[in-house]
Amino acid sequence: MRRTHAEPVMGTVVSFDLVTDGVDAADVDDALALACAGLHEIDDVFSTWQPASPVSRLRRGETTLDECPPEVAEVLDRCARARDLTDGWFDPWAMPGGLDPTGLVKGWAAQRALAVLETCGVRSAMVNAGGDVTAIGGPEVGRPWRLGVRHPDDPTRMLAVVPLLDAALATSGTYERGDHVIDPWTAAPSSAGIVSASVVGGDLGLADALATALVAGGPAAARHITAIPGYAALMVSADRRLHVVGDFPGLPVGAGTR
Amino acid sequence: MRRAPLALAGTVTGLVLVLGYRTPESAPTTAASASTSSGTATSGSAASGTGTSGTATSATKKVAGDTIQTRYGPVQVQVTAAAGTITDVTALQLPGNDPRSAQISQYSGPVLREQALAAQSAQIDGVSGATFTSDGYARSLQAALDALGIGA
Repeated sequence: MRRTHAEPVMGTVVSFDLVTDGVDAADVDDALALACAGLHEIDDVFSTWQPASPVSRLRRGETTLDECPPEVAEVLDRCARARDLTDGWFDPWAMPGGLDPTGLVKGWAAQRALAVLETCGVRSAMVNAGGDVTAIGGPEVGRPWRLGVRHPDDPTRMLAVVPLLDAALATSGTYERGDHVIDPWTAAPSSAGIVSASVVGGDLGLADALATALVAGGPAAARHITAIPGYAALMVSADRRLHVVGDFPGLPVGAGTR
Repeated sequence: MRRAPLALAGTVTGLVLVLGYRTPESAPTTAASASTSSGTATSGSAASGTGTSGTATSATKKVAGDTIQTRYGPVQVQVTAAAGTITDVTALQLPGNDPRSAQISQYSGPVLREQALAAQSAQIDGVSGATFTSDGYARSLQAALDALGIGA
C-alpha cells in the first residue's frame, strides 16, 4: 500500500510518498505527523521571512550562535563544508542581505524528515521538498524510485529519469520563481548563464547546496563537483544546452558527454 | 572512463542540445503508470486526502488529493483513473475568497492533465525541479503525482 501526503511548509509544499506494507497504520500516522512537525520547527528556526526567527535575529546581530537552537550550528557547519567543497561557489555568508543558509536548509530538512520516517519503521519512502527529493527503498521490491528532472521550459518534459536508490536529487533553477541566484564572489546576480542545475548524491542538504553553487558558478563551480565522490550533476545553460558533470544517471542515450 | 576530471573544461565538445530529445510522452504508451499500476483496486483508506471515491462505474474512480492553501484560496487536485490508468486530472475549484482561485483551477486543469499523462508514460514517481511556491504547487507535476498516489 502507498500513502501520500502534501504538507505546505517553508514557502513550498513537501510531498511524502510512503510504502506502508509491514508498518502499523498508527505508526505511519505518527511518522508523518512527526516528520511534518519537524519541518515546521525547522521553518520556524531558519526562516529568513519571519523577522523573529532565530536565524533572522542572527542575521541582524541580535543574537549569537550559542543562543540559537543547536540545529543552527549544525546547519552552519554543513554550509561551511559545502563552501569548502565548492571553493566558495556556495557561500551563505556572502549574500547581500547577510547570512542566508536557505540554499542548504530545505534539502537538509527533507533529509531529516526522511530519517524520522525511517526511525518510525518506514523502510521505503520518498520526500520531495518542492522539487528537492530524497528517498529510501523503492516503491516496489526490486525497483528504485524514479524521478524525472523537469525541463526548464516545459513542465511536461523530462531531461532525465533518475533512478534513486537510497539517494537524493536536488534541482536549483531560475525558471520557477524568476529568482536571481547570487554570485557569492560579487554579491550580485550570477552571470554564469545556468537556468537549471540538478545534483544527485547521498545527502540532500549537500546536493541542494551544490545545485545552488552550480547555478551561481556554472562550469567554474562544476570543476569542484567532479572532485566530490558520489555526486554528479546535470546543468542546462541559457542556450538550452545540456552539461553533464561526472556520472549523472538516467540520461537519454547520447545526451551530453562526460 | 566514466568520470573525467574537469568534465566541463571543454564544454564546446561536451554539449548536446537539450531540445533535441523528448521524454517518451509522445511514444505510444504501454499504459499503466508506475505509481498506479500496483493493482490496488480499492484505495481510499490508504489516502491521507479526502478519498472521494464513489462516483464510478465499476472500473472508474475519482480521488481527490490533499487541499493546499494558496494565496488565492484552497486548491485541490482530482484524479480520474480507470483500471489503474489516469484518464483525467482536474484542479477542483474550491470555495475561496479570491476570484483568482477559479482562474487558477481553470488554468491548472489542462496543465495537470498533460503532466500526469506524461508522468504516466515516463513511469516516474516524482519530479525534481526548481523550487515552486505553495501557489505554484497547484499546477506542478508533483501535485498530480501526489493525487495519483492517493488514488493508487
